[in-house]
Amino acid sequence: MIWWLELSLFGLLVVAALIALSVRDMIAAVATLSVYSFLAATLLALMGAVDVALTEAALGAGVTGVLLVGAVSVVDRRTPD
Amino acid sequence: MNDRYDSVILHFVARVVMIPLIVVFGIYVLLHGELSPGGGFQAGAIVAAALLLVRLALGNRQAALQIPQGLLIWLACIGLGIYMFGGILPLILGANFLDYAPIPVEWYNKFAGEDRTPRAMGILIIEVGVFLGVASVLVLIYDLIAGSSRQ
Repeated sequence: MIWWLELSLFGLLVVAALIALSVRDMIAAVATLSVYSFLAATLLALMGAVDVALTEAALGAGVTGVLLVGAVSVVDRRTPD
Repeated sequence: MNDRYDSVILHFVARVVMIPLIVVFGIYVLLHGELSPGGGFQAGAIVAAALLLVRLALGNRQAALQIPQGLLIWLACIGLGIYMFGGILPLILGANFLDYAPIPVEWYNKFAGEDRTPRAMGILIIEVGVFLGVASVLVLIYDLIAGSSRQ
Protein backbone atom coordinates (compact mmCIF):
# COMPACT_ATOMS: atom_id res chain seq x y z
CA MET A 1 0.00 0.00 0.00
CA ILE A 2 2.83 2.39 0.85
CA TRP A 3 4.60 2.13 -2.51
CA TRP A 4 1.80 3.71 -4.54
CA LEU A 5 1.54 6.50 -1.95
CA GLU A 6 5.23 7.26 -2.40
CA LEU A 7 4.91 6.98 -6.19
CA SER A 8 1.95 9.37 -6.37
CA LEU A 9 3.73 11.83 -4.04
CA PHE A 10 6.78 11.65 -6.29
CA GLY A 11 4.60 12.31 -9.35
CA LEU A 12 3.07 15.34 -7.64
CA LEU A 13 6.60 16.49 -6.75
CA VAL A 14 7.69 16.41 -10.41
CA VAL A 15 4.48 18.16 -11.50
CA ALA A 16 4.98 20.91 -8.88
CA ALA A 17 8.59 21.41 -9.98
CA LEU A 18 7.56 21.69 -13.66
CA ILE A 19 4.78 24.18 -12.82
CA ALA A 20 7.21 26.27 -10.72
CA LEU A 21 9.58 26.37 -13.69
CA SER A 22 7.01 27.22 -16.34
CA VAL A 23 4.66 29.68 -14.63
CA ARG A 24 4.99 33.38 -15.53
CA ASP A 25 3.86 34.96 -12.25
CA MET A 26 6.69 35.02 -9.69
CA ILE A 27 4.38 34.82 -6.66
CA ALA A 28 2.74 31.73 -8.15
CA ALA A 29 6.20 30.25 -8.72
CA VAL A 30 7.08 30.85 -5.06
CA ALA A 31 3.83 29.23 -3.92
CA THR A 32 4.43 26.21 -6.15
CA LEU A 33 7.97 25.95 -4.82
CA SER A 34 6.54 25.81 -1.29
CA VAL A 35 4.24 23.00 -2.42
CA TYR A 36 7.30 21.22 -3.86
CA SER A 37 9.17 21.58 -0.58
CA PHE A 38 6.25 20.27 1.44
CA LEU A 39 5.86 17.25 -0.84
CA ALA A 40 9.61 16.61 -0.55
CA ALA A 41 9.31 16.81 3.25
CA THR A 42 6.44 14.30 3.20
CA LEU A 43 8.46 11.95 1.00
CA LEU A 44 11.48 12.22 3.33
CA ALA A 45 9.30 11.51 6.37
CA LEU A 46 7.82 8.47 4.60
CA MET A 47 11.32 7.20 3.86
CA GLY A 48 12.27 7.49 7.54
CA ALA A 49 14.49 10.56 7.50
CA VAL A 50 12.41 12.50 10.02
CA ASP A 51 15.23 14.92 10.87
CA VAL A 52 15.71 16.00 7.26
CA ALA A 53 11.94 16.17 6.79
CA LEU A 54 11.60 18.53 9.76
CA THR A 55 14.29 20.81 8.33
CA GLU A 56 12.75 20.71 4.87
CA ALA A 57 9.25 21.50 6.17
CA ALA A 58 10.43 24.39 8.36
CA LEU A 59 13.00 25.91 6.01
CA GLY A 60 11.85 24.93 2.52
CA ALA A 61 8.12 25.31 2.94
CA GLY A 62 8.11 28.06 5.55
CA VAL A 63 11.05 30.44 5.70
CA THR A 64 12.22 30.21 2.08
CA GLY A 65 8.75 31.06 0.78
CA VAL A 66 8.62 34.19 2.93
CA LEU A 67 12.15 35.23 1.90
CA LEU A 68 11.37 34.67 -1.80
CA VAL A 69 8.16 36.72 -1.53
CA GLY A 70 10.30 39.47 -0.03
CA ALA A 71 12.74 39.18 -2.92
CA VAL A 72 9.88 39.28 -5.48
CA SER A 73 8.63 42.50 -3.90
CA VAL A 74 12.03 44.05 -4.77
CA VAL A 75 12.16 42.90 -8.43
CA ASP A 76 9.39 42.78 -11.07
CA ARG A 77 6.53 40.43 -10.38
CA ARG A 78 5.99 39.21 -13.95
CA THR A 79 8.81 37.66 -15.90
CA PRO A 80 9.05 37.59 -19.73
CA ASP A 81 10.47 34.05 -20.02
CA MET B 1 4.81 43.95 2.93
CA ASN B 2 5.81 46.62 5.40
CA ASP B 3 2.23 47.67 6.01
CA ARG B 4 -0.11 46.38 8.66
CA TYR B 5 -3.17 44.62 7.25
CA ASP B 6 -6.18 45.26 9.46
CA SER B 7 -8.24 42.09 9.76
CA VAL B 8 -9.59 40.79 13.03
CA ILE B 9 -9.46 37.15 11.96
CA LEU B 10 -5.87 37.42 10.73
CA HIS B 11 -4.70 39.12 13.90
CA PHE B 12 -6.53 36.70 16.21
CA VAL B 13 -5.27 33.59 14.42
CA ALA B 14 -1.73 34.95 14.20
CA ARG B 15 -1.18 36.23 17.72
CA VAL B 16 -3.44 33.99 19.80
CA VAL B 17 -3.45 30.63 17.97
CA MET B 18 -0.45 30.20 15.70
CA ILE B 19 2.50 32.09 17.18
CA PRO B 20 2.44 30.70 20.77
CA LEU B 21 1.90 27.19 19.38
CA ILE B 22 4.82 27.46 16.95
CA VAL B 23 7.16 28.90 19.59
CA VAL B 24 6.28 26.17 22.12
CA PHE B 25 6.80 23.48 19.46
CA GLY B 26 10.15 25.01 18.52
CA ILE B 27 11.36 25.00 22.13
CA TYR B 28 10.15 21.39 22.48
CA VAL B 29 12.17 20.43 19.39
CA LEU B 30 15.19 22.22 20.87
CA LEU B 31 15.05 20.63 24.33
CA HIS B 32 14.45 17.09 23.03
CA GLY B 33 16.98 17.40 20.23
CA GLU B 34 19.52 14.91 21.51
CA LEU B 35 16.99 12.08 21.86
CA SER B 36 14.30 12.62 19.21
CA PRO B 37 14.30 14.12 15.70
CA GLY B 38 15.13 17.79 15.76
CA GLY B 39 17.84 19.91 17.24
CA GLY B 40 19.18 23.41 17.27
CA PHE B 41 18.93 24.09 13.55
CA GLN B 42 15.37 22.82 13.17
CA ALA B 43 14.20 24.60 16.33
CA GLY B 44 15.82 27.81 15.13
CA ALA B 45 14.06 27.55 11.78
CA ILE B 46 10.69 26.90 13.47
CA VAL B 47 11.01 29.84 15.89
CA ALA B 48 12.23 32.05 13.02
CA ALA B 49 9.07 31.06 11.11
CA ALA B 50 6.99 32.22 14.09
CA LEU B 51 8.83 35.57 14.22
CA LEU B 52 8.36 35.99 10.45
CA LEU B 53 4.65 35.35 10.96
CA VAL B 54 4.60 38.26 13.41
CA ARG B 55 6.26 40.41 10.78
CA LEU B 56 3.89 39.34 8.00
CA ALA B 57 0.68 39.65 10.00
CA LEU B 58 1.27 42.71 12.17
CA GLY B 59 3.55 44.75 9.92
CA ASN B 60 7.21 45.55 10.23
CA ARG B 61 6.89 48.59 12.44
CA GLN B 62 5.16 46.78 15.27
CA ALA B 63 7.46 43.77 14.90
CA ALA B 64 10.54 45.99 15.03
CA LEU B 65 9.36 47.17 18.44
CA GLN B 66 9.38 43.53 19.53
CA ILE B 67 12.92 42.64 18.38
CA PRO B 68 14.95 45.44 16.76
CA GLN B 69 17.66 44.71 14.21
CA GLY B 70 20.60 45.48 16.50
CA LEU B 71 19.32 43.00 19.07
CA LEU B 72 19.13 40.34 16.32
CA ILE B 73 22.80 40.83 15.49
CA TRP B 74 23.69 40.63 19.19
CA LEU B 75 21.63 37.43 19.59
CA ALA B 76 23.44 35.80 16.65
CA CYS B 77 26.81 36.73 18.19
CA ILE B 78 25.72 35.40 21.59
CA GLY B 79 24.71 32.14 19.91
CA LEU B 80 28.16 31.83 18.35
CA GLY B 81 29.68 32.59 21.75
CA ILE B 82 27.62 29.86 23.43
CA TYR B 83 28.77 27.38 20.77
CA MET B 84 32.42 28.34 21.34
CA PHE B 85 31.89 28.12 25.10
CA GLY B 86 30.54 24.59 24.67
CA GLY B 87 33.59 23.71 22.60
CA ILE B 88 36.25 25.32 24.77
CA LEU B 89 34.86 24.27 28.17
CA PRO B 90 36.01 20.62 27.73
CA LEU B 91 39.38 21.97 26.55
CA ILE B 92 39.75 23.81 29.87
CA LEU B 93 38.63 20.74 31.82
CA GLY B 94 41.32 18.60 30.22
CA ALA B 95 39.72 16.84 27.24
CA ASN B 96 39.70 17.44 23.49
CA PHE B 97 37.83 20.24 21.71
CA LEU B 98 34.06 19.50 21.69
CA ASP B 99 34.57 16.32 23.74
CA TYR B 100 31.75 16.63 26.26
CA ALA B 101 32.77 13.85 28.65
CA PRO B 102 34.26 16.00 31.51
CA ILE B 103 31.42 18.56 31.62
CA PRO B 104 30.10 18.68 35.22
CA VAL B 105 26.41 17.77 35.40
CA GLU B 106 25.90 16.82 39.07
CA TRP B 107 24.77 20.32 40.07
CA TYR B 108 22.30 20.39 37.17
CA ASN B 109 20.90 16.95 37.93
CA LYS B 110 20.47 17.88 41.60
CA PHE B 111 18.85 21.19 40.63
CA ALA B 112 16.49 19.89 37.96
CA GLY B 113 15.91 16.38 39.30
CA GLU B 114 16.94 14.83 35.98
CA ASP B 115 19.36 12.09 35.05
CA ARG B 116 21.34 13.80 32.32
CA THR B 117 24.67 12.49 31.07
CA PRO B 118 27.59 14.87 30.37
CA ARG B 119 27.31 14.28 26.63
CA ALA B 120 23.59 15.18 26.61
CA MET B 121 24.49 18.32 28.55
CA GLY B 122 27.17 19.26 26.02
CA ILE B 123 24.83 18.65 23.08
CA LEU B 124 22.23 20.84 24.78
CA ILE B 125 24.74 23.71 25.20
CA ILE B 126 25.78 23.46 21.53
CA GLU B 127 22.17 23.33 20.37
CA VAL B 128 21.16 26.41 22.34
CA GLY B 129 23.96 28.26 20.55
CA VAL B 130 22.90 26.98 17.11
CA PHE B 131 19.27 27.82 17.91
CA LEU B 132 20.05 31.46 18.74
CA GLY B 133 22.27 31.87 15.69
CA VAL B 134 19.90 30.30 13.14
CA ALA B 135 16.73 31.98 14.43
CA SER B 136 18.18 35.48 14.61
CA VAL B 137 20.03 35.28 11.27
CA LEU B 138 16.93 34.06 9.42
CA VAL B 139 14.82 36.91 10.85
CA LEU B 140 17.66 39.34 10.08
CA ILE B 141 17.73 38.27 6.41
CA TYR B 142 14.01 38.93 6.13
CA ASP B 143 14.36 42.33 7.82
CA LEU B 144 17.10 43.39 5.41
CA ILE B 145 15.10 42.23 2.35
CA ALA B 146 11.90 43.91 3.54
CA GLY B 147 13.79 47.08 4.41
CA SER B 148 15.02 47.32 0.82
CA SER B 149 11.64 46.64 -0.84
CA ARG B 150 9.88 49.44 -2.71
CA GLN B 151 6.40 49.03 -1.26
